[in-house]
This record gives sequence, structure tokens and C-alpha cells, in this order.
Amino acid sequence: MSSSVLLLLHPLMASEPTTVEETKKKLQSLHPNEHLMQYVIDRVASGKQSLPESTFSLVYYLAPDGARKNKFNGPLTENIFQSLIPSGVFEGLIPDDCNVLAIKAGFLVAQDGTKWIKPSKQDAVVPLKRNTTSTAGKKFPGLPLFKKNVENLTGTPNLTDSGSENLDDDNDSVETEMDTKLKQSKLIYFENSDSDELTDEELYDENKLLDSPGLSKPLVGPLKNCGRTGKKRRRACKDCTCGLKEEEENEDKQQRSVQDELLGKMLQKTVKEVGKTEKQAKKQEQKTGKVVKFKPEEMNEIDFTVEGKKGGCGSCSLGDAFRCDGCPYLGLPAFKPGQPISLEGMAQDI
Amino acid sequence: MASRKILILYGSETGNAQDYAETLSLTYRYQGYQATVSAMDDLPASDLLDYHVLLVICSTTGQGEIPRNARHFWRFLLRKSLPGDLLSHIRFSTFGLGDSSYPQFNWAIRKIHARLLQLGAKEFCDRGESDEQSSEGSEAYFAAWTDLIAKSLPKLFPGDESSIKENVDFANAETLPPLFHLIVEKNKFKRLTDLDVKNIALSRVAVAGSSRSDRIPSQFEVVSVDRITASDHFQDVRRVILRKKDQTGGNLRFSSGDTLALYPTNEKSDVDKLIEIQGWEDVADYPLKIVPNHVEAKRSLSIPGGGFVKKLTLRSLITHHLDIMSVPRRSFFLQASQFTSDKRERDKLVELTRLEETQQLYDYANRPRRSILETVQEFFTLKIPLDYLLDIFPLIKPRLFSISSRCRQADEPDYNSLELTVGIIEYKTIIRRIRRGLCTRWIKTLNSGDVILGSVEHSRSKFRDDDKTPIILAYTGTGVAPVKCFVEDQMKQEKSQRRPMYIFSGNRYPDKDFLYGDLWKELEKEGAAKIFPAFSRDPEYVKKGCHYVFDRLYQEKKTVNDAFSEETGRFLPLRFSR
Repeated sequence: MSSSVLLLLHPLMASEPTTVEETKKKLQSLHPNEHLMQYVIDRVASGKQSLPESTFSLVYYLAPDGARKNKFNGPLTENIFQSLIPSGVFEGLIPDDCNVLAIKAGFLVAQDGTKWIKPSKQDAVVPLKRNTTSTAGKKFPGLPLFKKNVENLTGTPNLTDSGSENLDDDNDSVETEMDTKLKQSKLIYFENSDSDELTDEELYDENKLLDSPGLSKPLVGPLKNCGRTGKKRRRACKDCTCGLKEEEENEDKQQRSVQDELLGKMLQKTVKEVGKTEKQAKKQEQKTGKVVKFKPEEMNEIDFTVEGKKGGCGSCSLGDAFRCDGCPYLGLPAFKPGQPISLEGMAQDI
Repeated sequence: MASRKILILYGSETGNAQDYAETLSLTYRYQGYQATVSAMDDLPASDLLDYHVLLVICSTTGQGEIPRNARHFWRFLLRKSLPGDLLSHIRFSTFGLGDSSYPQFNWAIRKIHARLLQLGAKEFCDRGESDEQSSEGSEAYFAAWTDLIAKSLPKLFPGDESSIKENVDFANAETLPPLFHLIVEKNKFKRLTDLDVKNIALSRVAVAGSSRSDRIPSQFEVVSVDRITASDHFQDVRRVILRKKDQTGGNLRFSSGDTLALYPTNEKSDVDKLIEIQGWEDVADYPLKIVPNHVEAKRSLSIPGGGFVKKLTLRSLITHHLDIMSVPRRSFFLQASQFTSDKRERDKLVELTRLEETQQLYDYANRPRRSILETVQEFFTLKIPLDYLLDIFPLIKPRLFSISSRCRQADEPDYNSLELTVGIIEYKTIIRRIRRGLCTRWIKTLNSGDVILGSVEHSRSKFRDDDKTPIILAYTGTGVAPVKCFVEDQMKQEKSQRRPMYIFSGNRYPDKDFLYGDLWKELEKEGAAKIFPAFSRDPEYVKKGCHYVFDRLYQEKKTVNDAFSEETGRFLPLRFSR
């Protein structure tokens, strides 16, 4: 069955015959094998001119831009829907704020809002009843809720939903398998979800979301006595100005000087032990003419088993996670008693 | 019984939100749920149709913005074309990480929450917003929120309660299966001997199963790395000049505020140390295959910089991808607790993950900036099975540096090059070994002629070219980078087209760390800009009361006021960004 193309004209277009002619030419070149018809939209809207059913692959509305503000009415939209073949398209000037109307009539509204599409048969869209003013959140069994363009609904849907109120409903358990059909119908919205090509006009203004009533519900308060001792936590913020950061730095410095003392003692003993080696080195130095000298900083291997190994708690040799507060070994690596430990990198200074 | 699938999504800038999400996911897996955790941008948006229970954990960044690893996903959710019942199958709750000293406190999670409601998802319990400023700390909020979720979750999966273990004793729980299998192809291939780290670093390629890589890095040749602070000054600041080598993504284009992402590698000695103490020497240099363990909840791996290096071995995986020098987080300790054979060590690792032990965790890990490597060294019996490497170690994230030169035109000699001003991070804590920043330590090893990977990140805020109002630029230290870029751009223009510039600069000594001080003096001589430096350690300046930038701003309040009132000037405070 061959289809046709319909040009709907706004009455004012009568004063612009060239534009009309150009549009007709364009339509004909785009649809060379289809019959082109034209009506004045007012006659269709008033019912004086009826439209044949399932006839047009394209209905094109030509109107001055100012007509954008003139909304369609329900019957007109439905008539256009009926006159299109499945997959047929309504294009041209799309009046403002009529997308909901189109959806109610059964159309799919293109993502960019430039056309209305009559779904093909397998999409199985059932037009919603016109008197259903708020469809948000309601369930129509087996019926995918197509294209409720969030932006164009008068109220923002679902914002008043309160999940916790429903907690005892049987409704509350999640459906384990979403209706495959429903999933299919939703899947189309995820097409090109990776693409970032959309302009800001095609995106919801995120700052508007901050005023949503859904955010006014009470929040979870902090759990009391969460800290280890129930005390106020001690932790310097990133941009600490209260002095805690300095306090922490002082503590760190103190601990480092405790470490210095401890390491110093160990080094003394180790140096004594390697004294022999040093003598040998000196001999070699005389032979080769190179200066070889052991500086304490170069001592990367230190026998940890010397002083202080017997902390009363027995945890000194373990890592910091197990050491007591104030343990002189805090900050030093864990070691196995009796084994030398690498202090590699420790003597490096800034 | 039907699936107990939970999806946990996060948006995280510094890793805190990610750690909460990872810890939660692990906990739920222990409890018998199938939890999937993912950064929002790493999840194909259509996967939302496969889940009925969703938890979102997100911090706020910049001026109330969504974190970088969630922006693609967020832009998808914001599409006007989405219907109001798109997510009607989802029950959800959200948790925000915020700091009430910022005016845009928790904006990101509020926006996400409101949008999820708009799209038909339904809340199943009260949401949470933590406040870093509160005396209880963010963990107390998180504990309260997770308690509430724990009560509500079983009800979402009715008839299934028996298989859910509500209170898991982590110290005695069975080990969870890994999310990946790491197969050392020892029998099939020879031991690899090519250990040229710098060369291997250039070979990042996308692998199957890795998700969206929003930036494909290009190659840069290192022109020079010079110290620009006095040699006797404690801080080492380097001026790094790089030239783009390949044509990936075309010629270099950037403007003030844009950053370059760099991909650092671990130091050889640290990698060797980990391999040694874990006893991996025998398997470290054979080709390594990574396959997802599909039995478990699926997880996409997003490898920064486009993918793993090409010659993947255990050694190159650790060197180029695993952040073993980062501070271990709660989720690390929880993971690690599965792999100690000593009860005392296991108990301690579990203890460190408890929310009520936050102070202990902080004192042990964060405050001394202990590294994961050092932690592994301290827990003698901790032996990590290879399969769990990607579960347990975080991935190395690229580091962003503000570009400090203006973008050169095609007819200029240094076209396609850029300059970074990098403060080398070195400091002391109670841990004996000096703390060093992973990336700046790596930068110090770079030589002229080396080739590295980098990618330009464009800032969201831009200056308008036609804006000719006066501008006040205030910065401290290496915060000079975007200022210098901006000023150089202005100087390129006709004198009459330039904006009047007032530069307030915070430094320590006039002769040690006044970065690009000579350039500023020259500009002042030419009358192109007014410079107001402050030197916090210079006796003369201190005597005059100009310690800090804000002192200087206050002293010059007349200049500042005039710039504002007469010609609606702009004030541009620049925070030090690494």
C-alpha cells in the first residue's frame, strides 16, 4: 500500500506562497513516490476537514514561528496520529508544550523534540486515556509507560514518594525479574548512553534539583559514641587552623627524637662490632687510594636485638599496629628478634 | 532462591567515597548478597535495568559538582528525554560525603538523590549526609546509615532471610572468591627479560573488559626538568617542560586552569621489596593473563590511561598499575584480614576496619602516611594470593598538574610544548623513612629525552576572551601555574587589549622560592601588571606586616576595591593544586 505526505498549513501561510512552494518542492524531493496533499490546519482542527486514517507517512506542519505558542488540542493531535501509518512521522513546527498531548495520543516524542513518531506495531503502545492527568508512579499492568517527558509534566513525578512509608507493604519486596517487555521498552533510553554529545539544552538543569521536595525528609543522624573512647575525635583537617596540626607535628618530632636516641645507641654498638671491618677497609683504602669510610648513615643493617629489645609488653618487635602508645619503637619497622633489619632509606634526609 | 543482587555506585574524588563503597560491598558479599561495586562512570548505564536495589555513595567536588569519575553517568541521568518511570524498578538509598564549611555542602548527592526520585526510583530508607566538620566525624554518619540499611535490606528480599548472615564475624569468616583470576603463563612462555620500565610504560592498551577510557593519553618528550627553588631551600620545585610527540588527539590545545594528567610508576626498589616479601620472585616475570571471575558479581575494571601495559607480568602490573605506596584504607585492611594465618594479626586487621576504631586507623595509617607496602611488611603472615591482587590493591591514579605556560601557536618554535611547575612532595612523619609523593618522586627520575604519557584535562571554567575588566590573581607557592599561564596569554595580546592585572603572590623568601619572580618583575617594569608579593619568612616583609597573601590583600584594599567597583573586576583565588 502506498502512503502519502500531508502538508498542514497555518492560515497565515497564504501570504507567503513562495515558502509554501519551496516546502512542497522539498517534501516532494524527499518523498518522490508519494502523493502530496495539503490542508489548512484550522479546518482540520475545527473538524470541517477530516483526515483519512492510516494514510500518511509524513505530516508536515508549516507555520510562522510565532504560531509555536498556539497549542494543539487533543482531538487534533489524535486525528493526526490516526492519519499516520505506523512509523509515520509528524514534523515541521512543533507547538510548545504539546509533547504530553502527543504522548497521550500515542506518539513517541523524539529525544530532540523535533518530531513525533507513531510507533510501529511491534512497539505495541497503547495510547493513554486523556483524562489520566497524572500518570506518574501508577502502574498499568503490561503497559509500558512511554515517554513521560519529565520536563514537560506539570508536576515533577514521584518526588512525593516516600519509600519508608511503604516498608510494610507487600509491594516492598523488589521484583526479582523485571517484565522482559518492560525492560525492552526501557532499553531504548539507554541507547548511546556513552555519548556525551548532548548539549546543555538537552540536559536537565541540575541545580534545579536542589529544591526538590524529595530532599526535605529527615536525614540519618550520626551514631553517638562512635569513637574509640567516646571522646571527640582527634584529627587535623586538611586546612587545619585550630592548632591541632602543629600539636601533631610536635608529637611527631618528639617521637623522632626518641627514635634518634634509640638508633644512636644501637649504632654505637654496631659500629663497635664492625670496627674490625673498618680497619680492613682502611687497608684497602691505602691500596686503592680511594676513601672508604663507614658513616653511621651508611649503616643500613642494624642489629635490633641490642638495647631495649625486652619491652615489658613483648610487642616492641611487632609493627606499629601492635605497639603501645608511647613505645620508643613507634615509627620503626617491625623486626624479628635476633635478626638484623634493613633500615634502608632511613638515614636519608630531606 | 532468586538473586540477591545489590548495586553499589560511587562518585569519588579523593577515594573516601570509593572506600566506603568497597567496604560495604565486601561486607554484603560476606553476608550472602551479590554485591556489585563500581564507579558510576565504569558502569554501562543500561546495567541499571539489571538491579532492583541500588546504593549510591558520593562526595562533592569543586563548586557543588559531581566527582570526575561519575560525570558521564550523571550527564546520562540528566537527559531530558528520560521518562519519569525509567527507574521505577529500583529501590535505593544514598549517602553523601561532605564538609559543611563549604557552601555547596553535599550538593552532589542531593542532586543525584532528587534525580533518581524523578526517574521513578523509590527510597527504601532514610538517606545520609556526613559532615567532616562535625565532632563525630564522617564515620559516625556512615555507621548510622549502614545500620539502617542493614535493617531494611532483608525485607527487600523476602523469603530469603535464612541465607543472609546479618552479623558476620570477619575474623573467622570464610574467604570470598576473587573477582579476577590472574594466570601466570609460566609453562607457555619464556621468562621475560625486558625490564625497561620507561618503555613498557608507553605501551598501555585497552583490554577487553576494561570499561570506558575517557582519556587516551599521548606521548610527550621530556625537554627539561629543572629545579627552580634555591638549592638550600627545603622545598624542591621543578619546572618541567614537555613536548607532545605524537598526533593522538591532534595538536596541543589548552588554556589557563587546564591540567596535564601524568601516569607515574612505582620505584623499582619498592616493587622488588613487595615481590620479595610475598615470595613472588619465581612468577614475577612471566606473561600474566587477567580474566574476570564471572561466578562472582561482575565488575568492570577501569584502568587509568587506557588500559594495562602491553607486556603484562606480575612485575609490570605492580610497577605500572598497583598503588602499593598509597595509604591503606579500610577496605584494604578488610581484604587483607582474609589472608593472614596468625590470629593476632587477623584480629588486628579486622579491628582496624571497625567504624568505631576510626581513630586507631587514622593514627596507624593516615597520620603517619604509612604505605600499603609498609603495612604488608609489618604483618608477617600476610600472604596475598595472586588472584586477589586486583581486589586488594588500589590502582594507581593519574596525577593532575596545572599547566603553567601559555598555549603556543603553530608558527612559534616551541609549538606543542607545555610547562608544569611541580612541587616535589617530601616530608617526615613518625615513620623513619621519608614520605615521598609517588608521582613527584617519579618526576625527579625523569631525564631530558625520556618519553612519557600524558593527557590534557580541560577545566570547566574558562575566561572569556572579550572580558577586559581588571583581574586580581592571588596564589601561593606552585599555585602560580595557572596564573602564569593566564598572564602569558594576556601578554601575547595587543597592549590595549590586555586586562589590568594585579598579582598577589605568597612565598617564603624573596631569594629562594619566589617562583618566576624575575618574570613578574619584568612585567611590572613594563607596566603590564602590578605585583604584590608577600614573604612569610623574610624579616623585612614580616616587619611591614606582609606575612601572607591575605595580609597583602588587606594592605592593598584600596587597589582591590577600586578594581572591583570601578570596572567590575574579577577576583581569582587560586588554591595550590598539585
